[in-house]
Amino acid sequence: MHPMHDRPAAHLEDVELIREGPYDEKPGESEIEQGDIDQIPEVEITQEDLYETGERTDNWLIFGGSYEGQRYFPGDGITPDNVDELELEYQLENPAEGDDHQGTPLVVHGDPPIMYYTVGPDSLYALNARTGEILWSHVYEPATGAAESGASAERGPAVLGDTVYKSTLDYGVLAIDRYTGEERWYYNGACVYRDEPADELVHWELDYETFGPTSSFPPLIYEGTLMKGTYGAEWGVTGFFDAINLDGEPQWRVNTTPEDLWVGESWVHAGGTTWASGAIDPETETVIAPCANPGPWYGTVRPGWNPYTAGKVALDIETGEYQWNYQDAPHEWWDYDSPSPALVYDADVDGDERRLASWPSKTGWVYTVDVETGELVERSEGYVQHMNTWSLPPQDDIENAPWIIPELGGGTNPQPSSYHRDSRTMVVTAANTPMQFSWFEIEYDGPEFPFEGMETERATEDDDIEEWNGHQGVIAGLDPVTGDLKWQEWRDESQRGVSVSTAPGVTFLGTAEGEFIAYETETGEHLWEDDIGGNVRGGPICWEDPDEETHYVAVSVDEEEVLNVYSLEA
Amino acid sequence: MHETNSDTETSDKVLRRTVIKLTAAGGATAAMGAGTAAQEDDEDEDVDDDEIPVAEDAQGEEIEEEAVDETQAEIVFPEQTTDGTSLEIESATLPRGGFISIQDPTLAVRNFEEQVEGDERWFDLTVLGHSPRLDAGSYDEFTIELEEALEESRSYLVMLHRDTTGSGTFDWVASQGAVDEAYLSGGERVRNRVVGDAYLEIE
Repeated sequence: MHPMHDRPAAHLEDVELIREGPYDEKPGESEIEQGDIDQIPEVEITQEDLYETGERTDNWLIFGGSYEGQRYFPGDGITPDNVDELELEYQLENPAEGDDHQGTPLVVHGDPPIMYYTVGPDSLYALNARTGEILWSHVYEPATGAAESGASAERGPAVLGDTVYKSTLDYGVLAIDRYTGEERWYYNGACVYRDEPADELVHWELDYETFGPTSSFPPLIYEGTLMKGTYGAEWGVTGFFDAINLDGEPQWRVNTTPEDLWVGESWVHAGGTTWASGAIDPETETVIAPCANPGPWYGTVRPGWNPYTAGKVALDIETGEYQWNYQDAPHEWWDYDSPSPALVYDADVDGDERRLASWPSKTGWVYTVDVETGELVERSEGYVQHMNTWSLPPQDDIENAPWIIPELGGGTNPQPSSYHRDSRTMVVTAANTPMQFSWFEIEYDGPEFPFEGMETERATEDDDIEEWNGHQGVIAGLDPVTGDLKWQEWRDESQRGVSVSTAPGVTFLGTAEGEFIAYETETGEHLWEDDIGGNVRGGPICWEDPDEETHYVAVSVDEEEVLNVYSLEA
Repeated sequence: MHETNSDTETSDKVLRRTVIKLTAAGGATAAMGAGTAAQEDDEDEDVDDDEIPVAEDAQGEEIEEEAVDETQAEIVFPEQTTDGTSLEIESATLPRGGFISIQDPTLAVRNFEEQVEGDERWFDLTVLGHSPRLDAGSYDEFTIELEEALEESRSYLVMLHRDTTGSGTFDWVASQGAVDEAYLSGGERVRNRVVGDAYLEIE
């Protein structure tokens, strides 16, 4: 029995302190430009619409395609037989140079459908989804700016009513009028940290320019509660997970490294941030949040399991109370955090119908747990190579450190996976590159400096590593219930693509080598592909436009800084 | 360079020593030196108090607390070949006396199928043995016997612990890390525990 079951509210921070602080004051500046906003039809998005979006074909209202995050498109218009008829409808060039495309757009039904699309750092666009015409833009600039050293990813917005919401790189949330791009409110999540009010608008330990490649969490909205994660596990940040109401007022905050579950003061700079994206199970009204690696990376300073790091924590949406914690890598040393979101589904397990959550991990396995208890049901076959996995990194001796797979990027990093219900196939992408790790002592020295204490060396094709198959990446299909691999496609480059699967058995996926591929979901056979010229890390989506009788597929191309939208007439 | 467990490379490894010294400033230095790790085969798996090494400069418990600089704690743990029942420590300094534990922290993840969320077994799982109570002082070339033999060739960690309860028994595991904590180096914001690590080839 986990000690949190006896006191599930013990990890909650003092939200009254946030309410007393400048939680509604924005530390940065917004720049809004409007085009032909009259094209945006008035469509009231209801809570019911959010429940149903996973079963509808005329919209894509939630980051994961539905609360359950299966990235499953129920439309049957694009099939293995006609997918090769897809044509590029339009290509949206990056509105601002240097932005980062790791997002999943949303599409709101209407005539025309409207797309809401984020690119890093902190830019949100409303487009006519038929033409790609930008109707308004809202570009937020955090007070401390964004890091130039790494792309600041934006994984997507959330919509409800006539508002679109986005997380910001300074731990905030912006609520924006869906029709005009104008700001409604800002929630300042950095005004209190570890129950300590900031001297100014942003707590000094969260105020740094190295916001880095980690990013903003696509908000999750459920029955009046908006939830979002945090980041900075490499900078000594204590992870937390926030819930606010739809007026921007704080509701609850969970410390994801609960103080009394750690030895001594080791929780203080312990990471466990919740940076990528999450999923919701409406049946149990639970949010499943990802938890990052513990800090520093070497474990000698933090004995114990280090909950909830390097795994998932499930929380009651209304109260934030603890439900369960499954750690992919308890007491973790290799940066194996668990950013890829869970997907939730029903399946038969040994004759019993069960509600399950599955996610691929940086560790290179898919974990399947019971949604109500977090109990492990299955760990899949490895879909990457496992070489010296769980070897203890030596201290100050990178030269003699063993080559380890997975590397610090996984396995699977933040990219979500799709799940095809009929064939029970999950499609995952991953890295398969050996890496050496060697730890060294480090002191926390403020938010400007990485707090890792680990030297790493990534293998190249020139390294002669006998056990390694030489492929830096892999794309695979597997059954998450039995754990059986169905197919593996070894790739030259480390893969960060996101998959989406359609009802007739087509899975779309962009590769690091610059192809946009339609796979036959259950076999991995290539049905169609388009040379799109660069690495893809964005999430494809599908929708149908009933007024135009056209099927669409969209994907952002990170390296080319474009959004490609393909179409197929019904 | 890639390091494998092949026989050839293992032979090379036995001839090397990794020397890690933790300094008061919290920095770490590593040096490589030639030499074969000495090992004493002892069939007796129980710790025998008679075999507790004698500190070369043992200063005894009567020393006043303020006179002891705990940051002088250090341990040198060489790579070695062993039958798994004992470990050789090249040198150790315990300014207040205490214990040396042997750990494999990765066992927490490797036993994933047995993982029980948040239970008390992390310390039981990962702490594989410990020395008897050592008096304050510095020690060279001594052996720690393990009650349960190590079975797997891999990297292990040794940690220097104080005897914070003064009980003479190692209570770090039973107390879930609350007592008999490690000697610390480092600064104010984060203090590092004094440890050493080495690859052990189990015969």
